[in-house]
Amino acid sequence: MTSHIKMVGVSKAFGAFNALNRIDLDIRRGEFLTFLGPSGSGKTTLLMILAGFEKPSGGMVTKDGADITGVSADRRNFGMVFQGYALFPHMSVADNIGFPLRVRGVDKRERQARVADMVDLVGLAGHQSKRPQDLSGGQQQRVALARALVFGPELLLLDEPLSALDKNLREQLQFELKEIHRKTGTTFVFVTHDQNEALALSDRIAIFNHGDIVQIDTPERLYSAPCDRFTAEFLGSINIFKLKNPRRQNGSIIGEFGGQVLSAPALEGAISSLLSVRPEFLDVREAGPASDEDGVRAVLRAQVYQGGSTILKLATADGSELIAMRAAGQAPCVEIDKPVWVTWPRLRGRLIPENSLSREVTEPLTTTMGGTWKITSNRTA
Amino acid sequence: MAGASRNGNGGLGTRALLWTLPVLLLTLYVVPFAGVISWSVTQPEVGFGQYWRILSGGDMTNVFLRTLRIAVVSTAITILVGFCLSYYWVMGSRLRQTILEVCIFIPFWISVLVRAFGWLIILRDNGLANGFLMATRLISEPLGTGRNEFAVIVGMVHFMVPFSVFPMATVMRKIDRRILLAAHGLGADPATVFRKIFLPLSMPGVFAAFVMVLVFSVGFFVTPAILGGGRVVMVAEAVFVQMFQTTNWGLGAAMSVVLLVLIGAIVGLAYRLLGLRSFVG
Repeated sequence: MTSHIKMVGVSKAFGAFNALNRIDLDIRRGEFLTFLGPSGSGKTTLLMILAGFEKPSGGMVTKDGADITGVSADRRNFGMVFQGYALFPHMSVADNIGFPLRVRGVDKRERQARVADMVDLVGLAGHQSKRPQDLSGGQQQRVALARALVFGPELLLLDEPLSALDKNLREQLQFELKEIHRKTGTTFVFVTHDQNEALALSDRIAIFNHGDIVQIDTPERLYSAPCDRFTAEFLGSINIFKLKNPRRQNGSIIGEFGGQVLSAPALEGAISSLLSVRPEFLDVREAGPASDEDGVRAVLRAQVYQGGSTILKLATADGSELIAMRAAGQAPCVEIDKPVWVTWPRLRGRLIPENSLSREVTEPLTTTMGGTWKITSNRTA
Repeated sequence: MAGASRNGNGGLGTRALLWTLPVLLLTLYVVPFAGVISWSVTQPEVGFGQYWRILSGGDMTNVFLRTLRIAVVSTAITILVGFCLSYYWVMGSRLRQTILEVCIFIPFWISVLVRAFGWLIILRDNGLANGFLMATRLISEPLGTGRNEFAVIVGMVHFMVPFSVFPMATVMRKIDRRILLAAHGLGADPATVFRKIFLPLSMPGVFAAFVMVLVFSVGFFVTPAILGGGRVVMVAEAVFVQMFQTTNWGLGAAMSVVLLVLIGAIVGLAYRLLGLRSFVG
């Protein structure tokens, strides 16, 4: 894919507060790129700069090589879907969708034809003459989407468009959004703080923290090879073991944790003492680790049944907590408070670089000596 | 029975409070005004002669036409000035908002009489405005800005602008800024955003302010009396003259009734066209 929009050293300061620290970003033509990060991480500010609503304090934005930093929002020809939709309450659905064409001087007949096409694309047939306030949240969302796409923008910006909807509708609209992206071939830039939404929709995800892009990659690579602890903990749940006395051995790093020797493939560069394993790779059983496995001793503290899977919460001898996920069908074979082994295939252990690649230190590391667990997603219904 | 009353609209105390306003209106307004109506058809003799005098196209018709003309013109100017002021107030920075709030509230503390005399001092032939313009040799003789319709309209607009700001500013403040941003982002330049989005969305406030100011200005008394100097007589002043100077109570009463009907018609029309809800927000 070719480069479409390029941002070079873009920064934004609000008084003494740096909302963005010199962002470099290359948006590829036709991709679905998501800005993901906690609130206040700068993702919305960057979107506003992209849209032309905010002027960057420094740096440059280019489109197909041409500088557009100083071009005002109405001349950029980008579509935008706002949080809360921002529909025009005094206009009908059809007039809302036709608005961008009207201000561009498109004649009435062509306007009606294109509005009708968009109404079909987003599935709003029969609602054209209603007012936005007479529609459901999901329908308003579709109007906002149609209005932002009707003039065939090169780039569509979406600011948390699904956050106001309930869970089922949100999932349905995710599929529709993906389908519309495929049909139109427009470049989508999507802002969210919902990691599941980001994983489900994106070709690439840019992880934001404290005004920096910490890592940008495909959802699969971000999940399986996070570049630092923040990304690892922000996407999904993860168990992190802090190894004592980490050292190299045959292309691996080995170290002690809770009396056991654990190992994982070494990374390039400095030795890291942070070994991570995703909950879905952990097995909880009475038997110890096999020859190609590693494991630690723990006791089961709680189980949370979730339909498709069960979440097991365990504690190691030093009191730090682990989280394991067991797929449905596997009967829980351990009792609460009984000593067990938590094991995983050695290949699934992954070291996380201790020195964050981002320019600023991200989350302060917890002071626990052993492993820590953290459920980043608490959005279970 | 006691139980039923408790289950209903509350006890005796609540009901007494509820009825206070209608009773006051009835005894202090409706009953006396019924007397005024009866004068209008009995003084000096029984019949509709006084109404005929008002509607037949003579002096009194002219007073009503002049009143309507001045009211409509000053209302239109008031709304225009008030709209700009409201826009500037609502859209401004914190500092600008504070300065404007002071400017809008201070006139409320000054009596309408004092303000009318203030304008008289400024506008009369040997007043501040003409004096300044003649001293700087921009004009050679006074412009005749005192004691005429122009002066009355200036005084009335000045009095009513602060009142017109509130209904308009309230509606403007409720307009979601993201809607304006969305219109801009979808390709509308600032002038188009104003024309197609901001203006239509603030119209309920404009209508509410228009009706309020129009009703207000039809019944104006002090400002036209002072700034018109007897040359620009509006209905309220004419009623005063008939009642207290020429003691033609019948004519004064008939004019009051016509004025009330006129105001009732304006309010009724606005109610029918716009609905009461656009006035209370």
